[in-house]
Amino acid sequence: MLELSAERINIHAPYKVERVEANTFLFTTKSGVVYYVGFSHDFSFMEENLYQFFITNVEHKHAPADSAIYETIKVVIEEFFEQGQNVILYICDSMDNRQAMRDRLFRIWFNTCFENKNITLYNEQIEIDDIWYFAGIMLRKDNPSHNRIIGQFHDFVQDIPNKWELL
Amino acid sequence: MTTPVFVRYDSPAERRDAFMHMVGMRQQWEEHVKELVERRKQHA
Repeated sequence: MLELSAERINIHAPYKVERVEANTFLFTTKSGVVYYVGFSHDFSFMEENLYQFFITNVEHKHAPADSAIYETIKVVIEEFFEQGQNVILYICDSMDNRQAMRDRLFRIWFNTCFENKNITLYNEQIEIDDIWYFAGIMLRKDNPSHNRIIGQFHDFVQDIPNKWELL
Repeated sequence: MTTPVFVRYDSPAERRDAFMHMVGMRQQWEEHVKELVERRKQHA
């Protein structure tokens, strides 16, 4: 059972998080932008230990570049991985067709914040019904099933058929 | 973590449904966050 602690996160997070409910937190930046971050149990390709990660600028306010946001998220993710061999799944929001940019930004953030750390980021992209989806998983490098999990995720994503293939 | 149990799908259609459900979780979560925001405003 995943139980993230705001107290532990706030030891290192530049923006202090407030627990809203289990595994969901908010923080407010110096520009007054409120972010909610959270994890939700996902059962798409693993029956246990898989959580989808979400972050939202809840009021969709303009958010100036702020490294403290990325550092706060990094601390939240680190707290997640302190809780055991769970796996993070993320999918870049595709509602406004900017998912490729989000994927690039996510990978830049990851490479900046987690360089030389013991966490793997593995990405996939797939076109389904003319929409590109960018998804990825993060897991600890010392996960005993590390390569198997990556392989299963790859197979799960790449074998998704288009609508016309189901006819 | 014990040995992970991976989900097996009986058909490509099932796997597609699972993927689209996974994609749809974001919208569900955002709707839930909106409810949380409203609740906080009411209690403020």
